Parts: sequence; C-alpha cells; structure tokens
Amino acid sequence: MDLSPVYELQERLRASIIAGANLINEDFRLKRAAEAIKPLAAASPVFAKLCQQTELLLSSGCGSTAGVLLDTMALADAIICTLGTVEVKSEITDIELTPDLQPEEDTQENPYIINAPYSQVKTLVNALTTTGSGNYNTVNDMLYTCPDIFKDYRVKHALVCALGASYSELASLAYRCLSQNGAEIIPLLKKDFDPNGKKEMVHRVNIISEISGAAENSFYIEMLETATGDVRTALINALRYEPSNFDRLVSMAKTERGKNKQCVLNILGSIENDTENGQLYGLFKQIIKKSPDSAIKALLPATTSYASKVIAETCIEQLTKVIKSIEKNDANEITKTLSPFCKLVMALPGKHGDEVCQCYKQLLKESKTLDKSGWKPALELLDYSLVHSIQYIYHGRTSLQFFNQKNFPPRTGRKLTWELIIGSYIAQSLVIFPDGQLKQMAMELFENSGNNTNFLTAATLVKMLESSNCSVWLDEQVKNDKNAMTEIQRALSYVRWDKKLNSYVTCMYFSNMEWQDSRKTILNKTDIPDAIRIQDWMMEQYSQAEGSHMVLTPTGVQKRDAEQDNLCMDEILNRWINTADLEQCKKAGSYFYNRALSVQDNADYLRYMLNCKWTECQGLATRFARNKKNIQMWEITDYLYCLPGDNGTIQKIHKEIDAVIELIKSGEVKMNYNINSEHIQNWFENLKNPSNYICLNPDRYEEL
Amino acid sequence: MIEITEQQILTFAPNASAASNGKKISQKGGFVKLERTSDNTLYIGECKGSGNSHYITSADYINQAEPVFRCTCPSRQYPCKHSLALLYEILAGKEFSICEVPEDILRKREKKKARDNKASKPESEMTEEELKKAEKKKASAAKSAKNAKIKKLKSQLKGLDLADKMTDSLVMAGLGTIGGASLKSYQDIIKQMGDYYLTGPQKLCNQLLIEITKFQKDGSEIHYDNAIDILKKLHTLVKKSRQYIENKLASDDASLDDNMLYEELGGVWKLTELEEAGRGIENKNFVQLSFWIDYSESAKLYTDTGCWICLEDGNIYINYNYRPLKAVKYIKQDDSVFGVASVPRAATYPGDGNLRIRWENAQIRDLTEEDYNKITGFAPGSINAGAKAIKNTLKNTLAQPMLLQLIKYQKIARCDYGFVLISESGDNILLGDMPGMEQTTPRIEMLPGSYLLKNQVMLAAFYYNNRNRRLQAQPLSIITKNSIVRLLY
Repeated sequence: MDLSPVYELQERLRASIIAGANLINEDFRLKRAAEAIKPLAAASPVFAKLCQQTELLLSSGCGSTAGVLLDTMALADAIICTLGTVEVKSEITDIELTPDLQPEEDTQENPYIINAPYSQVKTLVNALTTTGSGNYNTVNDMLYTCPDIFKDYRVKHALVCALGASYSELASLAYRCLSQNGAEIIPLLKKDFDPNGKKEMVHRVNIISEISGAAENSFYIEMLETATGDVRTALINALRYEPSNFDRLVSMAKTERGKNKQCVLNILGSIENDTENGQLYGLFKQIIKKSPDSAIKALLPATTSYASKVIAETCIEQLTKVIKSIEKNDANEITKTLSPFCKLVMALPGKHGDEVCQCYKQLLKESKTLDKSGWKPALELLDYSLVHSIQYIYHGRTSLQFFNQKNFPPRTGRKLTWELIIGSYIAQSLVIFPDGQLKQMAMELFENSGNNTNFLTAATLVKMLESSNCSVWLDEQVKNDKNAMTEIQRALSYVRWDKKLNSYVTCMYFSNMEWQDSRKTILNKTDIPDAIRIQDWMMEQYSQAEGSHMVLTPTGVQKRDAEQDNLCMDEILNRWINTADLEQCKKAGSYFYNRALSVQDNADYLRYMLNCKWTECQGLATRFARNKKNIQMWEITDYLYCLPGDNGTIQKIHKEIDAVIELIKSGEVKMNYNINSEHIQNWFENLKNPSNYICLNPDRYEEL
Repeated sequence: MIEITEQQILTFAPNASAASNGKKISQKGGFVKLERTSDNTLYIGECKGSGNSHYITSADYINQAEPVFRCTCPSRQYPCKHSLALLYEILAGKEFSICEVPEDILRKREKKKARDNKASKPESEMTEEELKKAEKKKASAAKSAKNAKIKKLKSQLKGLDLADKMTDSLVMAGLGTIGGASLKSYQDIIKQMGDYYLTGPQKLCNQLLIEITKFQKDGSEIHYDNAIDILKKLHTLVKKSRQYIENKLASDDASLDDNMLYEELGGVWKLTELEEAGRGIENKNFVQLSFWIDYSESAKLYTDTGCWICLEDGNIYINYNYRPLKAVKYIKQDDSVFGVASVPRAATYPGDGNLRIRWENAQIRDLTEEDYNKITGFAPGSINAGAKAIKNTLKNTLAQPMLLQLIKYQKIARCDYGFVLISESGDNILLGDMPGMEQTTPRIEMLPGSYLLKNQVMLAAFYYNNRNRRLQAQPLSIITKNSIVRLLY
C-alpha cells in the first residue's frame, strides 16, 4: 500500500501548527493532501477516521480549530507509528571487537565486567572525557579508593580518550593506568588510530611500544607510511626494538629531516654491534663531517666500539686544527674551532679502546695550550639520581619537596682547567662503562703525576671497583692531601645500593640530553669488594672541625664549611647502606640518629633513619621545630609522619608529637596557618593516626 | 556476625561521599574499639574523633529489615560517616569483642517499640469509648479530606481551561510566530497553573516554551518536532482530564482511583494510597537491570530511574526517584543496585506499558545462577510477535516514549544503517539511541567479549523513530547466564 499520502498529510499538519491554525483555510497544500488520502479510507477504518478528522478540520463548522488540528495530528502520528517498519533489509556483517578479551563464554566471571555503580562509573567517565577543574583530583582519588573500577570496559575506553586531555597531569595519569595493562590493551590503543593525530596518538604509540616492543613492529611500519609530526617521531622511536629494522633505519637516516632524522640516528647510535663491513662506523664517520652536532647527539650515550672509534678519531683529527687556531691567537678562528671541539670532547665519557686512551693522552698533553683558549667543555656530564624528597602516596596525593637539597654532588675546590676536566671525564667514563684499559690508564695517570688530585676521582673509582683494601687507600689519600676529600666524595657519590637489584649500582643520568630520550639513564650493577669498610670509614670521617674551604660550583668558586662536607658524606653514606644487612643498618642508624641530634636541620636524617629501619625518635622533632622557629603546617605534618619507629614504638612517636604540639601552643615555635579551629582539631586527630606514619606503611612511599 | 555487602552499605548511605568517607575511616584504622552483643543485634564502635574525644557509634539490627544507626558525633547526616565506617568494619571481618546491650540503647529500643505499637494499635485491643472516638475522628477526617479533594478538583477544572486557552492560542497563532512578548505572557499563565494544582501540565508548558526558545536560538527543526509532541500531549491530557474530573464531580466521588491521570496532572501518590487503590504487591523479588539519571531543565528536576524485573512474573517495572534542583542536597541520590531486592511490600502506579513501582524497604542478596536463568527465561525469542503490541503502546499520546522489554537474540551485528539485533527466531530490529537518552550503541563495540554478541538476552528500550519511521531498540543491558552487563549503569 502506498502510504505517501499519509506522510504528506502528516507534514502538512505539522506545517499548519508551525504557521498557525488560523491560516488553515488558505492552505491549499493541506487541502490537496486531504484529497489524496481519501482513496485510503476504503482500505481500513483508521484511514477512514483520519479522512473524517481532516474533513472536519477543513470544514467551516470546525469549532475549535486548534483542538481539531492537534487531534488530527495525534491520529496521523499514531497511524504512522503503528505502520512503522521493524525489519532491516540490508547486508549483515559480524562485529569484530577490539579488543576481544573473551571470545568464549566462561563459567567464571569476566574480570572486565565490574559491578561498579552509576555514582562511580559516571563520575569517572565524565572526569576522563570532559574538561573541567577537579577532574584530575577525581580520577586520582578514585585510583586509590576504588582501583578495580579502572578495569571496567567502559572506563578503559574513557582512559584512552583521556590520553589527549588538555590537562597534561590527567593525560599522564591515564598513561600510567593504561601502561600497567598487558597486551590485551593493545587492540584498543590501535583502534581508530590516527597517524596524523596529536598527543593522544603519541601517547598511544608510546604505550604500545612500552608493552609490546618489537611485537608490534608491523603496526609501526604501516602507520609510518602516512604519519606526521610528533606521532611520526614516536613511531620512529618504536622501531628501535626490532633488529631487522636496521636497513630501513639506515635508509631513513638519508630521507628523514630534523628531529625525526635525529631520532633515527639516535637509534642507530645505540645499536650494540656494527655490521661486518662496518656500516655504522662508515655512516657516522660521514655524518660527523657534515652534521657533527647530530652525530654527537646520537653517539653521546653510546659505549660501542664503533662509536668510540668515531668520536676518538674525530677528536684527534680536530685537536690539531684547534691547537693551530689557539697558537694563531685569532679569536674568530678559536670560536669556530673550539665550540664544536668542546662538544666532541663531551662525547668521550663512556667510550673505550686504544683510540680513546690515545685521545685522552693527547688532550692532557695539550691541556695547557687548550687552557689558553678560554674555552672549556662542561665539567659535569652526569647527573645524580637525587633522593631529595620522599614522595609518598597519601590518598593519591604525592607529598612535598620537603627535604632540603644539598650542595650535591660535591665539587672540586680548584680552578677549572682542561686537565681537571679530562680527569673528571675519565672518572665519569668509568661510571658509564668501566673498561679495564681505562682503569689502568686512570691509575697510571694518578700515580705517575705524583698523585695529582685531578685524577683522584678516577683513581678512587678504580680502587672502589677493584680493591678489597680501598678503605685503607682512602685514608692515605685524605691524610696526604686536604683537597682529597672532595674528590673522594665525588667518586663515592656515583655509587648507591639498589634494593630491587640487590646490588650496588652506578645510577646516573646524562644531564645534557633531552628528558624524553630513553637513553638518558645509566644503570650498571657493580661489585664493591670493600663496601662495609668503606662505609665504616665514611662514618669515621665526621669532623667537628670549624672553618671552610673553597669549592667550585656552576656559579663560580664559593665557600663551603666543614659541616656541609659532613652532611654530604652522610647523604652518600645513606645511599650506600645495604638495607638487607641488619647489622650495618643498626650501626648506620645509630650514627644517623646521633648526627640528627647535632645538626641544624635534621630533616634529611629522617630519610636515612627510615632507610636503616631505625626506631628511636626522641628529640628529633623538637630539635627540628626549635631550630626552624617559624614553620609551615604542611612542613611539620610531613616531618612528623616521617619519624622513625615501628609498631612497638608508636607511643614514643606520639610523645614526640605531643612535645612539638606543646612547643607550638606555647609559642616557642610559630606555626603559620590560616584555618579555623575545626581544621586544627582534625589536624591533631590525623597526627596521631598511625596509618599516616611512613615507618608503618612503607608501601606508601617511593624514593625518587 | 551479620552478613553485609558493600551494596547494602551504599544503599544506607545518604550520599556517595558519606560512604566514601566512612570507607576511608575504616581503611585508616579509625576505630579503637569494636564490640557486639552475643545475639549479633547490636554493633558498637569507638571511633577517633577530633581532639582527645572519641565518638561512640552503633548499628542496631534489632529489626533486621530496618537497622537503626546512632552516633555521638555532631553530624546531622543519617547515617553519619562513623556509622557507615562501622559497617565497613563488619564487612572487613574485623574482630568484635562481646558486650552487653548498653542501658541507653535498651531504653531507646523500648521507646521505639512503644511508638510503633501506639501507631498501630489494633481495634480489637481498643475499649468501646476508644473505638467510638477513633471512628468519629476517622469520619471527620474523611469528610474534611473529601471536601478538600472536591475543592481541588474544581480548581483543577478551572486550571484546565487556562491550559486549553494557552494551547489554543499557541496553535492558532503558530509556533513560528511566537515572539518575546507572547513568550512572557505565556510564562505568566504557566506560573498560574501552579495555583490550580496542575503541576503536570505546568511542566509540559515549561518544556514547550523551552523548545520554542531553543528553536529561536539555533533554528533546529527538531525543537519544533518536540514542541508539537508536547502540544499533542498537553491537548490530550487536558481533554481526558476534563472528562475525568467532570465525571468525578458529577458522581460526587473524590476518592483516588486507578487512573494515571491523577499523576499526570501533578498528583503525588502515597504508598498507602496506592495500596488502598488495590495496587499493592507483597513479597516479591526484583533485579535491577539498568539505571540512569537525567535532568529536566523545564521541571528543574533530577530523575533517578531504575529498571527492575520481577523474578516472580517477569514484568519490567520502573522506579523513579525525583530530586528537585532546589532540594538536591537533601534528597539522597539513588544508585545502581547489584543483587536481588527482596521486597516485602511494594505498590505499582496506574498506567500502561512498564508500570512505575515503589517500595520503602528491601533486603539485598547476591544473584544466583537460578536468578539469571529465571531472567533469561522470561525473554521472548521473537521481535515480530511483540512488535504490534509495542507499537500500540507507543502510539498513545500520553504513553512513555519507550517500552522496556527483554529479547533473546542469536546475534548483534552490523548493517548498512548501524547495528542490528537478530532475534532467536531470526527476525531483526535496528538498534539506535533514543533522543534524550545517553548513547549506548557506541558501547557495543567496547564490549569486553564477543560472546556477548551471540545467544544472550538483551534489555532494550523500544521506541518509535519518527525520522526514519521505524520501530527501533536502544540496548540497555545484556544478561548472560552469570552476569548482567550494563551498557548504561
């Protein structure tokens, strides 16, 4: 049956309501539509009724035109509704789910179907997918109060959306949540992937490569065909996992431009073994001539033989030109040659081999000439994994930068010269790659130069790594030379105990590389034969000496007093403590406790004592508060939460807290706050709550 | 110890943050003492408060169905976070030492018992004089109530004339001609409707003006479609209500009867009134299949909607919790319920399609395999068999715009127009998202297992799509043999 007259009538009635029922009598289209449905009247009583109704509407004796119009409209709509189509006539195809986490039904419950209520899911999904203040806090809070909800399939999709959140902290949080998943999240991240997208897509690539590595190599390659911008860079970076990408990368080194080219070179520079025909050596020898900066950036963290050869050979070649330009005394010429030369020299640490040793020796031979140029490369290339605060998770809130940052690492007290710098580079090289040949050279340089302090850091490292009598040797150095302590501290500070690896490690960062470069980190397990005695030796070095000496800092030469040296040594000692060695912990804990009762600001010592699982806290907080005199509420709160103790000494902690509160109440210590008394009461309540104490909840904090 | 679930705790909580705070107190070890009576009817906790004082909080399960919470803290919330924390302590299986019932609790229990007894003293226990007094009082109250109701009906009749005049005027002038000045005068008329106890038509009129204003802002034709639907509904409501009220006045019958028009006009049923009207049901078990919350701009009202299936008869009911914007802080928001609600007393509202249901108390228990089997057993395997009845329900002007039903399917698949559901018997229907409802079809592709796309049961909201002139279904939940997968909440 042709229903188009009914639809047409419906349209005309609608139009009448919009235009106004007082115009109905002039609406010829409506009249035409009314005529058109008349043949349908015979087909069924409902159509007959509709015809009747329409005639009434158009008749002069209508009465309430508006009412009749609405009745007619309602009738037409009702008829059309009952005639509504149900069946779909179309080609049907299966839906492919990405990811299909459970293709077959199981008797076990599906772990991705979480019975989370509206109040949680809706709130979380909204926070992840919309903009607005407080969204980050909402998500962060829920991560700690109801973490299971993040497994819900609805939330997972929202997390992927949040990767593109304008508030970067929220995007980072989503990143962390998603990267904790296994490979089952990969299909979701690949779904609707846009190779021309923005930071959401970059994050997706990074998560995929973090989880899957080489397994998704074909995805990276496929997307690279059309990828642009930062997404392209991320995809190139992901190629590093699959060794078979070598030829592709060599080809891309010629075709890519800008940061993408650098990315390719960085990957090539990190490949361990060169090809049989020395392809990488040849490639970088070429590039270092045309674009020395790019080559150096790529080879800076490399410790491979070919990288060592390229840098060392180029350095030696350039040195001749540099010396000539210095001897000419032409300022422009010096600038032109020294600037790139210094960058090249800065790439030496970590390199090894005959050419490198030869290079160092040449540089030392010419060091006095080089000093005349006034140009020098940076002294410190490596940065420390500074433990300058404990970040603990308290309902998802990370704590403050509470602890003081020391003048750390220690600096030498002498004038900055090329010899000093090369000595430092040899030491830093031993940290990055403790090559045997370099160790030998370091000892020779030290001993043959009459124990030149410029080589002492390197020599100390060699002794630490090899000698079981290192502590005796250290003693001798300190006795012979008052400047020795700074150099020794520097060497000691390169090493720390790693709980997870259960070993001593050198853990440093290349300070002159970009943060997002994954090659930035150095982490090498190392053996320290005389570790215990070296720690004992450190404890013995505490000196009550007064006075000061000069140190070299990035801003110039400055005074440093003996107490700062002591504080520095204590920081180093803390990093050396093997926390599994209970005897050593007890010894060190007692040492730190006594030191904490004697220093001006003992905040850092809480961290040391926690590290050693020391439990005595009497006098610590009161000393801290008294010395501060004027204190912030958050400052004293976090201090008190970090007091040493255990389940058996909670009363002692409470006693110490009470003592501090008394100091505040009496006015002896001023606490800055601007809140009403109800909050103060809540504050007192929380201070006495053991669930806030770090010593009782070690899983709540992580060291940086 | 009593068995308690987190779901039950959330049900007791006045709002989500009270529950969350209670949980935090429990997780942070906020209780210094936990005690219970040997008969497991009373649980007491001493919780750390501000300063040196502690709060004593208790959960009294002397009446299992209606536990009473008490706490010495100054909070006015009921139950407070400390009482909720105590429940979380029970949930966590913490150790409670045995104690006697404290004197003050004993006194309070007795007082409550006396109050309850006083309220429902049976007639058989009354003296003759008490009986006469009670009857006289009843009769007097009934007469006053009837007079008040008659007065209200007459007032409503007058108000209906006002509503009629307004719709007449709008339709005669045409929606497209409404300007600023006329909008203002209509707003004044709408305000007056409240004086005539016509909050239902008042809401519709507000909605109508909102649609007209929206069209004037964005020019989208969809606002005209919505406005016309409202006009139709308003006109039909006025017509039917007039007839209904005139009949009642003519027969001098002011009693509430089984007619949906009472609520449509703005009347609010009491649970007891529904029961007196013969709409009470007893001892049934319900399972919530879906839940959502929406906000009406015209009524300034949040509506928490729960969709429940009765395990005894397979009917699908809807539960509404209304929270006016002005009072949103004081009315507890409903939430999703996971489990079987055992309801001793409930009542349904008059109407067609999915009836509205209401109850005061329910005990929640976990779903069993048998429950899932019951639910899936109620689902028909064919769409066509029920399509006519669905369309007949949806076509009514005063009907809800959707009808919720279960349907057994062999597959959910893709077609040229989007997603399609193929029923067990092989007929199919296009899936879509109802205007005004949160979208659920995009979540089909997010489902965590392809087994959910085959041979399961779906709770769908059937609706008529007047753009493509089709009966369509919006998927709300998928029920399997051991889970309910909610595409909404």
